[in-house]
Amino acid sequence: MKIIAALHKSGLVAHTSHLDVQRSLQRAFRRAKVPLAYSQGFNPHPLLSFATALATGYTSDCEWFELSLERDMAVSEFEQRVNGCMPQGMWVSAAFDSTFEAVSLTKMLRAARYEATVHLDCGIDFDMVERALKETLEQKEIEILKKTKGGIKPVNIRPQIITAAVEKVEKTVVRFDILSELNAAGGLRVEPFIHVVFKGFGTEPLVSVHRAAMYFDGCERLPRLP
Amino acid sequence: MDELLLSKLLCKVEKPARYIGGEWNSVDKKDAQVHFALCFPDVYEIGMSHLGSRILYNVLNEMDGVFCERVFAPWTDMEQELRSEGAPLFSLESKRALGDFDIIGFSLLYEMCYTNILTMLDLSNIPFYACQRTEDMPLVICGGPCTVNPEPIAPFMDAVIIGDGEEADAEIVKEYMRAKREGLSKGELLERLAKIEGVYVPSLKNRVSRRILKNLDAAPYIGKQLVPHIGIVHDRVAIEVMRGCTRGCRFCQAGYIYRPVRERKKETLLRQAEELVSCTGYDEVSLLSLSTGDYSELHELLPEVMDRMQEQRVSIALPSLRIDSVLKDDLERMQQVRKAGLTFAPEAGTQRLRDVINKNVTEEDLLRAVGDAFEAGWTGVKLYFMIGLPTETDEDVLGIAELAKKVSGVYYSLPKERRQKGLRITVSVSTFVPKPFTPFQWAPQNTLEEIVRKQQLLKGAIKGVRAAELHCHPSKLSELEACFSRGDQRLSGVLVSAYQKGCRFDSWAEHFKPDKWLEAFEQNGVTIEEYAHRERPLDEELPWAHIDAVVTPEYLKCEWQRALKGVTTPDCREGCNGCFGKRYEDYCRTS
Repeated sequence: MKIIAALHKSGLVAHTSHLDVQRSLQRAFRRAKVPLAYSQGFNPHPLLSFATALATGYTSDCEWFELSLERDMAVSEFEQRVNGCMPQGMWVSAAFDSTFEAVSLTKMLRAARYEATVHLDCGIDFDMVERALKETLEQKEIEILKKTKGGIKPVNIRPQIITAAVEKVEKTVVRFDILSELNAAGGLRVEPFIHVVFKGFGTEPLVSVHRAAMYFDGCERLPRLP
Repeated sequence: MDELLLSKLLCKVEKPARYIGGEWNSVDKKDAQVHFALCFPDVYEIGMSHLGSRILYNVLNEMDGVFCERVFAPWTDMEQELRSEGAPLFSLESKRALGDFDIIGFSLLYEMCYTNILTMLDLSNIPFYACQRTEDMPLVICGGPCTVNPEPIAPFMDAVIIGDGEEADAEIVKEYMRAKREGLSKGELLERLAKIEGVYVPSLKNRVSRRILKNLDAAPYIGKQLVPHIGIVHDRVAIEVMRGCTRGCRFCQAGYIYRPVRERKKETLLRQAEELVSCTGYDEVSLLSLSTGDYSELHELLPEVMDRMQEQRVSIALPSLRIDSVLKDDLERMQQVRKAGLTFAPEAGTQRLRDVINKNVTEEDLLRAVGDAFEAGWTGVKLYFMIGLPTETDEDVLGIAELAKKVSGVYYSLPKERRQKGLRITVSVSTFVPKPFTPFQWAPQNTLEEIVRKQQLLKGAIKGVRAAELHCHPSKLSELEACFSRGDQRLSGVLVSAYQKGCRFDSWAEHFKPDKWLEAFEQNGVTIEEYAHRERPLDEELPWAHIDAVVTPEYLKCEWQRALKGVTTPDCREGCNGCFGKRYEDYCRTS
């Protein structure tokens, strides 16, 4: 059977990489005695695949993944057993039987919603932040520098942003709500975008990013773009 | 530590998951009376792989009222961030500052980690020298194989455990709790600690004999092994099959300081393997010891453990097999699960030199073993050697290339249908470091020039060997190892100077600063020459003479003389060689 489930990741464990999470999850499944199905071949590995990777340091409510099992098991039992075996800050927050879903998560993935929390050294006015955001979004191109194998290259991230808004400002803490495209080709790097917004204030603040939702197209049981 | 500060630090460093804690099976305790910081003076990935620390973590956390937390050496980026934030080094479990612990215990496995001890103390505002620490500061102790000669680090320590730590450590903590209840001073506590078998208190200069755990089978093990978030060096379940080795290789310190051999029963090991696999979710189990091929029930244990583990898709790793063990069947079985690399350690290139070092392995053994391995489908073979061994000549050095050539020959003489494609022979050559409590403790180490010359000689000779690749370990590092393994208290000053000059993580090539070390030696009026390259007369009082490692000095002298004559000493499973002298009855129960 196949199961599609969402992984929650928060707290300090956010500082683990995508690869670390995959390995941790596999070990949690083994501890939970989930009957994992393995790939064939020279070096068999469990059949587990994520819709997309989460950047190291981000927290999330919605890391959707698909898992193949050798034998059937009730989804509720799967959730319960796995959650009894998860390291601090990680748990399965949703799951359903996906044996008859034909398309892969990665192919169905369309967008994601992020909450970005910015910690500033001194207080700031709501309108000022909103104006800075508006000015940033009005640009045709928002250029950030991206590290690639071929060196550091400028990338225009404006087309990836669907909507972005200042949610609230509390003293030195600013909260943004961002909806952006996310698919097999990649997604938005949130902190460099926020840094562009704050460029005019002459500061590069500490940004913590939380992926609040992922949106898909092609499966009724997965969240769709509002 | 403040949460926001912690996030700020974590965002700035490489591999932040080294510092986050919260791993599966990690311990959290409220209301502990004694806070013990189990410190490892190297990075997380290395420290987390250390079996001894895993044992102590379990033993200490099993004690009522004791909370043992882990602290590793921060990588240089984290050290800088901590300094610029003015933040202290903290533990993984509760993020408590190292200076706020009651007891700080370092595991010392490698001399070239010593500067990291100073980093860890410095980041906690704890003075290096024990005599400069006040009553309200933590008790600083250490243990591990390096402490058989504690002298270079002794001035930094309040107490040192010599030998097996699982019982002594718990006894120290018990005495600490008792002293706290009775309101004793640190000095009074140290006097009590000095009475514990295996505990050396440098300020009291007490004579001490190495602690030996009598019953390994009944001893506490690692409990629930921690499952790290990030990949570590030995990322698998570790089962300690036995402690000690009966072979008596004369260069090998572990072979002498873990005597006598003590085994765990097969049933105990099977139970531990099952329990650990089930509580960790690991898919690999390693059967650890100095020489797992010598474990007396190996051929009963292996098929049984493999059968049980195969159902759960768990593979078995045998890290220390000897060439002369009957390998073929086991190799074929291991193939069924997963193929790991094969490593053989002939240590020396000629039979004459192997006799000198008492590595009782013949060329025939090696060639037969690699032949079996090639036929079983292996194509990658690692061969470990040392250069600079006592009595070594150029012929012995060239013998390494000869042996590699013969191994290559075995492969190419097999018909093509009986071997897999792609032979790779890795010849790994390290520099011999004379160690205390071995028959070679009096031997001079080759000078740097001599080692470099021998390495060049070997490089030339190995070029003609098909599929062979040579790796030589950096010899400047080995020279320092030789100083610190056989050093005295004057070297504590060298350590402090080197630390102040920026020496850190010296075993990491990118951080090793040989020039700074040279300056540090000069500044303290000592030379590398006198510690590393000088032959020590048999009647010289050695810096570690006040430590009784149970193997007698007379036995070591006798072995040194036999070595010089090229006379071998048989494995003591074949009959007692008398290494413990008259105390054989008390300590050794193997024959």
